[in-house]
Amino acid sequence: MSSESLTHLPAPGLPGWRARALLREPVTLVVGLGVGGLLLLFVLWPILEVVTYAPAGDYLRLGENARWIRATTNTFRMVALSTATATLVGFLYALALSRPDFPGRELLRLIAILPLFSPPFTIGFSYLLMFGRFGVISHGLFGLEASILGWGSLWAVQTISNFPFAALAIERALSATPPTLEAAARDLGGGWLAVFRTVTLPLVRPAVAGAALLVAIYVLADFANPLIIGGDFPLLATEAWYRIDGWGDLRGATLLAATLLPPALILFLAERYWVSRRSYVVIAGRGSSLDRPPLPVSLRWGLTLFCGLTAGLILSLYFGVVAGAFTRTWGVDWTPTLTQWGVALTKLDHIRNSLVFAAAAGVGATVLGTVAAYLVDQKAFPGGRLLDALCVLPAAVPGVFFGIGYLLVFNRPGVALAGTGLVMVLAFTFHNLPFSFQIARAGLAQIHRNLADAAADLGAYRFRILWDVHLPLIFPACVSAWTTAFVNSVTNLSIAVFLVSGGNQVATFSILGLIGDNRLEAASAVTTLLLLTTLLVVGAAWWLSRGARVIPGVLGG
Amino acid sequence: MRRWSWFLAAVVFLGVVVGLSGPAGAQQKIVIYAAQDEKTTNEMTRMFTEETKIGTEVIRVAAAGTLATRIRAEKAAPKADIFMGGSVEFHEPLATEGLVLPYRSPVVAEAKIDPAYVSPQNFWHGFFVNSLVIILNPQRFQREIASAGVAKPKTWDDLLNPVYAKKLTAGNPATCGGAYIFTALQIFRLGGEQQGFDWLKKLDGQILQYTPTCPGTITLVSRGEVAGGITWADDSIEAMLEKQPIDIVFPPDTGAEIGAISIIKGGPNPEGAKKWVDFALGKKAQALKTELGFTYPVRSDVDPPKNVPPLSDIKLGTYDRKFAIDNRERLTKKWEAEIGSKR
Repeated sequence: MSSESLTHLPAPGLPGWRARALLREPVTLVVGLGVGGLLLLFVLWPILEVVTYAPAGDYLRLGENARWIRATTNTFRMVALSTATATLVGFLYALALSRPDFPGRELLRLIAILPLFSPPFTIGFSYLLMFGRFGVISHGLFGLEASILGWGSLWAVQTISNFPFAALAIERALSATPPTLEAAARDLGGGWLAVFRTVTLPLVRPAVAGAALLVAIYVLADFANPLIIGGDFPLLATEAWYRIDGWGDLRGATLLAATLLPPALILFLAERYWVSRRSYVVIAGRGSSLDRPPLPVSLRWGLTLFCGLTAGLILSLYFGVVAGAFTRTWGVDWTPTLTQWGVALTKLDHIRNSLVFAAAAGVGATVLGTVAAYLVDQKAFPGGRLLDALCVLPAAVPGVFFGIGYLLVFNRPGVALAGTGLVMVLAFTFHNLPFSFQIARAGLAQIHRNLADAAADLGAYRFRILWDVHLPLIFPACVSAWTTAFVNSVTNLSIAVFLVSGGNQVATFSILGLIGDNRLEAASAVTTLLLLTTLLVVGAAWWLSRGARVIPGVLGG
Repeated sequence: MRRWSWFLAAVVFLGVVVGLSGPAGAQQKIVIYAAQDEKTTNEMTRMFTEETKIGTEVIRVAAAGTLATRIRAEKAAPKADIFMGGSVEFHEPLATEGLVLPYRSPVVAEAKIDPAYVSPQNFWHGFFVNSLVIILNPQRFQREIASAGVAKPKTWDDLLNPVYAKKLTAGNPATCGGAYIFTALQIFRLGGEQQGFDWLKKLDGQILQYTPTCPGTITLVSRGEVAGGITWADDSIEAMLEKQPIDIVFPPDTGAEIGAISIIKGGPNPEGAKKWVDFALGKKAQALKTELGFTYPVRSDVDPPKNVPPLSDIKLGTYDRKFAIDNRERLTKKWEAEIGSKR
């Protein structure tokens, strides 16, 4: 009887049939409704709350504030500029990474993913240390004394922080193009450039477009770097924060955060429903063991130089942060000292909070993401499409927006979460849900249905199948999902800044405070400590999952 | 059951336990939202707990606006008892919105504290006074200003000397409170909105960059990004004592903030909160705040901080605080339209 019901379950296009089948599986029904309810409560409600907090009339008066108009145009300008450069740099970097004959590509890859594991403001912060008026490189090396705060530096910092996303996405696509196609084109007499232009490029074009949109979303939502390096260059995300920070004006802040939502949603939908659908599948029959033809020598040298410089820049920026932690007064008194570590030790509590909250959020996101992915994947639940949409929705919501939403919703009477660490854990959990959900779905998609059907024929219920068949197989994906959510949460500032309270301050927030107090060296020490502990945890997770591919995505600052 | 599933169960269990267990609280405590530096805050709370046996839980941030926002967001279920630090500019609007519990500390009468430092409706108590100053980077001043035969600036008007063109920094009034007080000060100092804005437009020619926060100017000056700037006295003195390269000038007709404490209406421990107000106005706390926070005390029996001229030497410019608070939205928009967006 159970086998009969289950064989009908995945039949698409028969909603009535599925609904009836569902009634015979109360566990699935309850779990499905539970997950749906949680998503409505913790994803949809905060979003609606922010959008409706300011009266509609306020939206009409947005244009009267000259500064906000400037913030809007600046935001779009920054997104356009940074996306273009980050995608270009990412593409060149990916070109190098995808070539097995390229010298030191593993090292290059390692350096490129470093920014993904550090707090989003690390690049901006060390850029200030290295290129400021008394910076090591600008002043010490070149004797320059130029002001660096402003849109130019922000552009550079956004390019450096975001090109790794583009590089990794494009590299995947480049590696997937079969060498046989290139070889065939060459045999037909095409030069390297002609082959690249007519064969390789068209194949990876959707990946490039997707990477660009992804970068655009991150730049749009980024909060920390403009705060540190942007100077007086108003952007929507930071302006929402200054509205609160300098004015105590929650209404204005929600208004600006809400303004950020439509462009974020458009970029997100474009990425998800337009570009991702256009990925070209190369039908090449049998796999080929053909080696990729080598790049022309001049190009190879050019790329080596370019990637070497980029990697060197990233390394030097990290060197700045670490060196700052051992300096008395940066740019003025270079005496090596350990005094900054005294300050760092007083912040140990905050680092512990960061780690605990992030670990808990990682567990929450992974469990919820996996269950939701299973429900959607198995088409076990009639509301699957809605569930799918709600699960990925937070990826389109800038951190600042999410933080304000949680601040508004969970400070009501009856919701006794306010001021507790749990609010932050929940915010991190749901903001990272899209990642864990996608990773789990990708993991499930690789498992052949025969396995589940076999278990079903043997009489296993759906969640028994999940537990005994699917979970062991997607365990590496779960570790990867956990790590992603963990890293994103530990390094998050945009949400934390709105939700910290007395007993639950987090490290990124105290680092921002130290930078605000002009104690850059102490800020370096705490950043270094946070970076080390994060890398340690990620290393442990990697070891535990026996080398599962662990690459986090960062949700805007 | 496989081994990995035990592992997974253990992780979930641990996560739930850790997520649910908050830090254990003291027997009786008050929750303080503090917009002041960490050292002073820690010392004050330690002293308070010693004296009263009441524990404290502090959320400390650099800017008062964040805390005011929180108090607004939490008005249905207030989490904190005390809002301290930040100028009266932040406390007064909260009081108007009915979020503050009126209280008059007996210490005000005992210590004969100047009534100018206490809200007429007893909404807030001022507990320190902080003035606006000019800061200079000595190295750049020597090389670029003194070498041109120009002496150290003494007044705000001295900053209009062409020698400072594009070499100064100041806070942006659209985003930081101190810069707004500076903007309003020019209106009162020069006797009219038109005159004030004319002066500010001249100053604009000297400004290389406006910073979104007031302490941000200190960073720019001490790192030599600019030759001089306008900011708060307390942050500047602190930076100077930390051996950052900064010279401080106290202009005679300057503006000031009255750093205030107010009790949040509906907070968990109003009685404890009142004790905190009394404590903060007491002689010991005032001396501590003056020593560690580098601000002027509100009590006349506590000495002003070292390194600064006494408050009586500084002619605080006539400042109509009510006008400034009521016109903030309008004046910052005007500043943005006539100055900020023209840059």
